[in-house]
Amino acid sequence: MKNKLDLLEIIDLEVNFHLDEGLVKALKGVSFSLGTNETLGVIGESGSGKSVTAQSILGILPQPPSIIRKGEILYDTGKERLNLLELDEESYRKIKWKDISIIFQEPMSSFSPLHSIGDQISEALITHYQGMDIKEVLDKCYETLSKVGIPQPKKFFERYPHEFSGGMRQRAMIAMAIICNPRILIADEPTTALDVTIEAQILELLDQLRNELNMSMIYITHDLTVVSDIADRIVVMYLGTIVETGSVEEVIDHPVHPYTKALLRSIPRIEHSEEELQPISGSIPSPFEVFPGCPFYSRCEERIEGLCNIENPVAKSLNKDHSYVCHLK
Amino acid sequence: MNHVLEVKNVCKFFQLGKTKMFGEQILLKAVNDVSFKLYEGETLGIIGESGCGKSTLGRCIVNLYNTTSGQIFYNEPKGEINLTQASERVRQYHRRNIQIIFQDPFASLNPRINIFETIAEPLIVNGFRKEEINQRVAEIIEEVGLRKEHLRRFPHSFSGGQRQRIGIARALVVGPKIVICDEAVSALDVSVQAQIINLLKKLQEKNKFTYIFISHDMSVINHICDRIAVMYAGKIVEIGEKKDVLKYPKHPYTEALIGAIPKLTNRKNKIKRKSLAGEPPDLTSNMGGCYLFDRCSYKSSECKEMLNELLNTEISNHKSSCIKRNEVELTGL
Ligand SMILES: Nc1ncnc2c1ncn2[C@@H]1O[C@H](COP(=O)(O)OP(=O)(O)OP(=O)(O)O)[C@@H](O)[C@H]1O
Ligand SMILES: Nc1ncnc2c1ncn2[C@@H]1O[C@H](COP(=O)(O)OP(=O)(O)OP(=O)(O)O)[C@@H](O)[C@H]1O
Ligand SMILES: [Mg+2]
Ligand SMILES: [Mg+2]
Repeated sequence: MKNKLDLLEIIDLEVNFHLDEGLVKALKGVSFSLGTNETLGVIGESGSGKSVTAQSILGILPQPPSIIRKGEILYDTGKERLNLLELDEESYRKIKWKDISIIFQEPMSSFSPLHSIGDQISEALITHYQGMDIKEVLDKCYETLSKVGIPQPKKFFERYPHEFSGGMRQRAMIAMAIICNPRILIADEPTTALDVTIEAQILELLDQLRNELNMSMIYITHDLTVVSDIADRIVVMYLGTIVETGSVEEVIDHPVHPYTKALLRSIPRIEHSEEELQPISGSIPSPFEVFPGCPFYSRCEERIEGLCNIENPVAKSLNKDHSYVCHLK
Repeated sequence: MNHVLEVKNVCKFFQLGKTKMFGEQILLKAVNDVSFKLYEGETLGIIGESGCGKSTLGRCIVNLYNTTSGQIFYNEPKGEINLTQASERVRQYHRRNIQIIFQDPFASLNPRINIFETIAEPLIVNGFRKEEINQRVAEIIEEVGLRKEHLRRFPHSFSGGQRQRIGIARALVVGPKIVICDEAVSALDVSVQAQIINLLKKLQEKNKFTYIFISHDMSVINHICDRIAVMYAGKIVEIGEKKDVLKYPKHPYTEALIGAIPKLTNRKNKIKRKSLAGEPPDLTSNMGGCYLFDRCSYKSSECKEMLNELLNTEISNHKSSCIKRNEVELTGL
């Protein structure tokens, strides 16, 4: 899966959390890559390690309690390939917001209630472009705010986060994330707190911005329907591992891994309201539990006893666009 | 069919902080003149954007909020009881019959009391005797798919899906007639969501519950409901049989909601979701005419004059407040 054009490549990333209750293996060897100008959808249920992956890329993992045990995150700056995990804080600061930036799930908790939207949006700009004068900073802010669909940017600039609806706050968060024209935008469940009409607006906006600004995007969500709407490729995660990856068409129309298949069956679809929903049996094991073999074994309908609960499955490639990690053929 | 509940012209206005200048109060019109009947054994879905007043309406019905005006009638075989005017004692008694399941399985359980006490609490409040409490809790816990060993544990040791089951057990243990599910599955992972939806359906069949199912997810609503009421800015703008509302929407807002439904068949650059431009109106302003006006693509000047009443359409039991409901051709599913 190595590709000369990859902007970002994660190789065998392992992250542990050392907690009072025990050890959580949050990422158990995660590898994937992000191509230029592409949108990669990362999907998985709660606790599968999506946010930990995003935090690792941005260097914002809380350490402790977490420890990066192993792995590389290679970022192609255009001149060289940097291993982000080896950067010191100072070098990270140069990259954050300008090269790689993030939109968080809950816009309310990622803005400070004490400062105006404008102060917070302009901060990244001031950090990265120290030569800019005030007028240039303001112009860039107004321009970005109107780019994300905020009608009166000058008025908006002065106001405080709590004065806005969820949809407007999320737009402001997007403005903050794109103001330095990043090459990679990570969106961690940016629409989970919003309802469908606003969600559709935000997805459209993100895709349009990605095109205009020539960005690549990692879109994290637990909603397969959203991913099918916005992504080129999908990574499916379960309990800290990647179980299946491929183009949207491959993974959604021809899923191979039993977990992906089960996930697709459990979604209420507007087209099939009469059929009974098929939940995935059992529940996600506790993160403290340690067991050998495939992480999905306990809930898998196609498990083979004596194999799946003993040996770790290895990655298999169906074609250039599609691979999975499972003992089944 | 018999109705079990009637909501008549209910309004709930919240008073926000006083304005500085003239001491005049700002009123937020969260629920604004809502009327509907709820029929025995049905599931009525209430759908609409965040902040349109769904939860506030649900809370008025279960009496967690006093209404600002309007009436709510609970219909018993013996006759109708006006819950909004009854004495506190009568209201307390009938509260048993109308229960609510809340959205957030994490926030709605008290972390300091164990599961037995959590589920038994509504029985204790309603003066049940000890043996009956024990028996009812034992029965309900089995019905929602939890085990006896769980009873002595505390909420933090349960997963989201299990906590939601506890919330359901707590709402159902007093034997209600009407259950209001306020985003009861929204916070759950899809695989768990499917378990809970199936459980709610099974319990309804067995116990003949009447449900009001509040959600902003049209696919979930479609799976569980018989009728749908669409809310916008504190008002019901359309109500009818599920199939009719989804196939032949009679209000432009419903059309927009249907167009925005995420589908697995959508693809980037190919089949796209439609989105409704603009933002919902400010509920503290004095609005006249149709509340969707600024965002509607079918609007004309008469829409500024309309009265926001639900009007009949050409389909029976299907009402819409749009004055152009019979003129414009709207796209459904
Ligand atoms: N700050 C933290 N302290 C302790 N454990 C953590 C922390 N952050 C993550 N974890 C653990 O790491 C695992 C992966 O968590 P992560 O937040 O990445 O999940 P996620 O896929 O983003 O889930 P969600 O959909 O709920 O956001 C979980 O078991 C979680 O409990
Ligand atoms: N206790 C309160 N005091 C003041 N305003 C309130 C209160 N509760 C709700 N509101 C306001 O009333 C309106 C309706 O809120 P409500 O919670 O009923 O919406 P909802 O349709 O349930 O939204 P959601 O889908 O986000 O749950 C919102 O504008 C909200 O801010
Ligand atoms: Mg997360
Ligand atoms: Mg609500």
